[in-house]
Amino acid sequence: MANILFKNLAEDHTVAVTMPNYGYSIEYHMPISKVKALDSSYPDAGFFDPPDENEPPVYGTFDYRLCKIPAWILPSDSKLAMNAFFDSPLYGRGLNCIMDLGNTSTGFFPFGLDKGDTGKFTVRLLESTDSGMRLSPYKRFVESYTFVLVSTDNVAPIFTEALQGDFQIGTCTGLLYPQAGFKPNSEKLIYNDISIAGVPDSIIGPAAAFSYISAFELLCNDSRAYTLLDGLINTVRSNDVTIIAPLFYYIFGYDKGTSGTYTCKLLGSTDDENETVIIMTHNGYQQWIIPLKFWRKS
Amino acid sequence: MSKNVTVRGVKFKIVPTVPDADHEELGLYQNLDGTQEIRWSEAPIAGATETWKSGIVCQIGTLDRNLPTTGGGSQEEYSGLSIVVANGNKLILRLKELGIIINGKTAELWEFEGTDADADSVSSVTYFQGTASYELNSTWDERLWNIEITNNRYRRNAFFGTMISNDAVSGNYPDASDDMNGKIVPATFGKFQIEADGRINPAKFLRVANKKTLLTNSANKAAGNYCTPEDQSVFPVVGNFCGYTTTGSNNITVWGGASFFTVGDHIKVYTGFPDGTDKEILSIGATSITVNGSAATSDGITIMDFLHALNAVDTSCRVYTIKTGLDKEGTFSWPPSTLDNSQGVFDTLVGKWFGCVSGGSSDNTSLSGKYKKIEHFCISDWSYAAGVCLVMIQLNSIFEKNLSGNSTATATNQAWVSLSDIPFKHANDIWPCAGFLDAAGTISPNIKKLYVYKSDSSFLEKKAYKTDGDGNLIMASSASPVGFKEIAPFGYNASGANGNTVVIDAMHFENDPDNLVSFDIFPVASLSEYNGAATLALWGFSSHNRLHSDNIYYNCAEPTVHFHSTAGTEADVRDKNDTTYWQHSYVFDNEAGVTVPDYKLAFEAIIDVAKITHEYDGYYIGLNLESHIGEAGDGFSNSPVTMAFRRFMGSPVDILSSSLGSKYLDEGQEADEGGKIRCLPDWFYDVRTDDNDRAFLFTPTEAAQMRLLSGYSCFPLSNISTIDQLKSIYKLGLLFSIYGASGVSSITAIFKIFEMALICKTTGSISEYFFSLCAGRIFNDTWSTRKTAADMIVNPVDFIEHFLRLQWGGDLGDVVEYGKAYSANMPIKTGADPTYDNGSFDSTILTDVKTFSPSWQVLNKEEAYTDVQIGNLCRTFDLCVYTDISGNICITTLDKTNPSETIAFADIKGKIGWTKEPQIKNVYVQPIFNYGYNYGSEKFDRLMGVQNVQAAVYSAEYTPGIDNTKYTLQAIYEPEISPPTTPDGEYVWNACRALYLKYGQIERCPSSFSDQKLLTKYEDTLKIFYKKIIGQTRLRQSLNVSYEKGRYYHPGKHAKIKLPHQTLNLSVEVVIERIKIGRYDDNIQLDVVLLEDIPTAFFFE
Repeated sequence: MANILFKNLAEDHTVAVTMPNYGYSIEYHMPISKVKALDSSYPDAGFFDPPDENEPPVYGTFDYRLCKIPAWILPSDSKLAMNAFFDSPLYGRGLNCIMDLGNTSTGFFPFGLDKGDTGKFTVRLLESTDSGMRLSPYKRFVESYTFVLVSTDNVAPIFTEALQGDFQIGTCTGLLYPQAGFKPNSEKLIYNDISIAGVPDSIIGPAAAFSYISAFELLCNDSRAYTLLDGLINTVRSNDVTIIAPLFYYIFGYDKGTSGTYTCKLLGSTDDENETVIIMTHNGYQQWIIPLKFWRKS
Repeated sequence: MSKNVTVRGVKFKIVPTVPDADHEELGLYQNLDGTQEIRWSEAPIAGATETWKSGIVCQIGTLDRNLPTTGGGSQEEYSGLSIVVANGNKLILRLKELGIIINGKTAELWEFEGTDADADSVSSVTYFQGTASYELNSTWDERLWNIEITNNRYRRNAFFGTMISNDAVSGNYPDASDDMNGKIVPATFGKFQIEADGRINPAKFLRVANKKTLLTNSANKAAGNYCTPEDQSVFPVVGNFCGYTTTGSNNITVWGGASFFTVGDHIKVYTGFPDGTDKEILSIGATSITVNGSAATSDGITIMDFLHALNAVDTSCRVYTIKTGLDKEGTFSWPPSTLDNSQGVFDTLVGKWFGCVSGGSSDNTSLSGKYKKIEHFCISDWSYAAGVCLVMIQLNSIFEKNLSGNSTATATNQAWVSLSDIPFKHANDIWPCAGFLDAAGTISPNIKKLYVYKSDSSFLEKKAYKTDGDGNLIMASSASPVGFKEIAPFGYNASGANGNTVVIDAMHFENDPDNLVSFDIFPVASLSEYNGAATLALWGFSSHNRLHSDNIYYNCAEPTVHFHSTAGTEADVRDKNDTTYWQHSYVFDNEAGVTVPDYKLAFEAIIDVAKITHEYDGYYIGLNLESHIGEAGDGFSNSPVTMAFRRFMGSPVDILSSSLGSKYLDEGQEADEGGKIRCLPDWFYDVRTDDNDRAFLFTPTEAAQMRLLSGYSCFPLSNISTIDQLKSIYKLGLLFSIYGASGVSSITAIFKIFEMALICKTTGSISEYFFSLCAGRIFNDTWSTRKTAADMIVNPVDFIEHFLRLQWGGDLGDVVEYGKAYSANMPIKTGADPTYDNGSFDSTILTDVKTFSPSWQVLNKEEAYTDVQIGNLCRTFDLCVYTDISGNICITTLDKTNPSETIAFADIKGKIGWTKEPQIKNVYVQPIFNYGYNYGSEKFDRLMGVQNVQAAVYSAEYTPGIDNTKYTLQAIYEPEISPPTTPDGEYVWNACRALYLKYGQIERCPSSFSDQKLLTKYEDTLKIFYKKIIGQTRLRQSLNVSYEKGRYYHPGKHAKIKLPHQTLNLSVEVVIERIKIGRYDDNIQLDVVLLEDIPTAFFFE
């Protein structure tokens, strides 16, 4: 197994540790705010994607990526090296440092498929946790690490196009039907209650303001995961996105039909109203788990 | 590159020091210079220049610094900083055992930046200096001790007032009355002057010496002498020197006074006590007093000084003899050998007051309650054999009537007098002030303008039509009958010191010297011969008074006028020169059968009522004229002068007769004698010999004998008490009548009219205070060569620095008295400000605010704190006072400064807070400013405001108090429009109209917004008014930045924020209103105020 090299910025001090196992995640943070209005909708004005200073503005300037390794199995000598590196104010303590994956494909995409699995990444260790010695695997320390990507020149490798299904988000076709199905959530502006004497009481809002959200978890190979992420962070962002669903998908529930073309807004992998976060977990070879939510606009 | 290590610590300065102080295990250290400190760091540090103890401080909490700017600037506030200390090893008890109490100690928060091996190799900064408090606001248990840092070290609320105490031993004003105890001497800031709009804006001077003491002769008993009775305080007048003539350089003939003396008696005069020897200077003869001139002169006083030389004939008197009880036991040795300061009334009379207690003059005029000042006195022994002491006293001016009395104190209307000490001292500050101002605003060391404040609850504003420059009829208001009335300088002599104290020596007053009296005297507009009607019926005389010719009317057989000539001109009666006159000469011949001549020579005068701009306390006619009558035969009787006035409606009113009860009669019996009327004061004339205003003040009882009528009160304008009534006077008539008995064949009459004027009297009490134009506090220090010590403090920034320097006296042990003196060690930030944000009091960002020149007084204890005044100045002028990380006290403004620091989107941590619009209830779309505080009325004199913002089109009446002939504001705020096109009133209204359209609600403007006691000038007020209006709509923004970014930020810091949404990616200047500096969560919370609008055109491009 290849090693990861951590170097200080001057690259005159290096430690080498083994690659983390599958199960790590990439979090892609876009500072897109979303406001949920009283009528349960997400009107366009509620999505705000801050532009940069350029004219025309470039979006994504303020995005950032995290690499979260929840269970990095480190032998004691690696742990010693990691501590020596990240506890020293000369190397990695509060400082940017270099994560060097070498020149050979590693299969470890710390900051997403589009940044590749080789080369150097300037990162800062944000957080780490300690654990006691494990009996199994014996004398190993299973610890979590979170890195933020500061900069990199790496680019995506070439992925062979491999379609998995007939689901389409934006320009990304061939997505596999979510294996756990869709979890539609509609808000139909009805508030029902019962008085103390058992008398039902209801307030309803206009049907035109009904809101439909669908949550699902995609299982993608490298090719689909790359294409999907590329579309979401570079094109979709806070803009309208078209989702095309074949028959019997019912992505927004029965109300909105078995199939069709839906104009939607990306809500991301979380419910955060202040940013849009896309989480991609590298769960195995050619397996990326991507939870997503979309709000149906029309 | 390596990462720096940062560690914080807290240091407490142990003052006063305690013995046995070096306890490293407690973090208690004794320094080489003898000072003692507790130094606790939150983590171990090594290599620092000082040793710090770790393991005691658990946590240094969030430093919460607040500088609220709603309504204007302010001073930085602290909501408290909590330091959690591990109370291990019985820390608290051990410190107490050493005598160390943390409470009240200066606490410094430090931050070290360096390496593990060298903690301060990069820097060590004291980023906050405060005062520790734990006994009141903290808690502790067996484990933890919570110490609160509750205040900034330099923010001391010093009391700068001076409370008045009349305690005889320790009091600062022993001559103050009891009711003055506990009041404060005013404090005066800025110029109190006549403002550009004519508003009189004087400062209040409080009477700090007003305790009236009645002098008795009891003190003589203590000196071994015996007076009878011991507590005698009222003395009879037993003699006077009224009416004497000088018959030679050394002889005085006493007129009417001989009866007070016995031939052969001697008068011995003491002057300039203690002299030690008595001088015989006068010997009383049958009709004269012989003067021992050399003896008198050797005492430094001449007899002429003492018995005041007058004109050849005079009836007024200012020398009286009073009788005191003395020496009934026979043990008294006369003259007393030691007439020194222990001798009670006798040695302290000069400068004291001679007051009539009862009785008065021989014509029943009561003079009770009237005072005069004692100028000289002597003790005469001519009655020593009778066992009494007679004190001869010379007053500095005359009573309006002579006091009456006799040697046995049994005279009709016998006058009894008292001797009093009535001190005068008024102060407007204890701090040296620049001085006094004249009407032009020029500073002088002596008082130039003294005012009393007159209030009249019956005041009704009067309006009248008049024409403007274009001939249009406009409405104009008359001057207010209430307000400040000047007491002209002739009414008093004043001396003072430091520009803040005035000692009044009352010269003209009514009754007692607390009531000054002043006169404005206006020469008549014209005087002319009257022949306007065939008879004198219009003047209230019988229609039988028929016109003969010229201005001659007759009520007898028609005379033959042989001669009527004039000399001089009418202008001579109003030229303020008593050597020039308008003379009319007549020769009447009775040969035509006139057996009883009755002629009247008529003149008419017109008062220049336009010059009377406000109410006075009395109106009189002042005259200086002479009449000379000669007759060729026997039987000539007299020549009365009549004065009367005609009103627009109603009958004429006789003036002259209303004072003396009968018309003044010129009873001259000899051809070259005549009657005189003289009732104008010396100072009225440009050319006049000084005679102590004798003709003005004294009203002779026996006018006929002296053929002189004097005293300004002789000719009161009957029934005239208001300005309206005065202005109803049409004309004044001046008529000379010539009566004769039968047998007079020829009459020669000469009338000389020297002056004729209207006398307007103002009276005012200075018993508690008066007002004066003055310039307030000076720097009194160079402030490290930055200022001129003698210059007046003018602008708000310097005033704030003045108060700051007063409120810091150093740490405990410093001897500088807070509030009364400057500390040399005040850490004021000064010098150049290249970043426009370093807080310097010399910064160029303060140039604009330094153009303002407020003026105000502090008159009560509650406001006499530096904190209050700094707060007021900050709020009014949008200034902010804070402390930088070096402990310097800094200042900044809420105006834009173009700072270099920028907070960009990438600097934001976490969620950006709300952009807050102001609450509508706090936006006053129809604001009002009350300014020009009047310390007499204790109300504001001036107002500017905005009304009717609902209107679609502006009208000048919507902005009362704003001058629409000027374009000041647009020139400032829109300099690109040149010349400006929108007048100030409209400019202000437009701003308010925009607020109304935005917020749509009209809220009551509260006094906290409207009442501007510091503002007195229109120009200043207008600019501040507009700033406050537009400042109401400032947006506020909350955001967080990293510790690295904001750890040295402070409230009042100017920066620019550049956020994609909130500011549309534009750099917008803000000032930090609140900052919470927390180290542990790497998060600095900022509340900022946006000083610029965010353009909205973005959306419509």
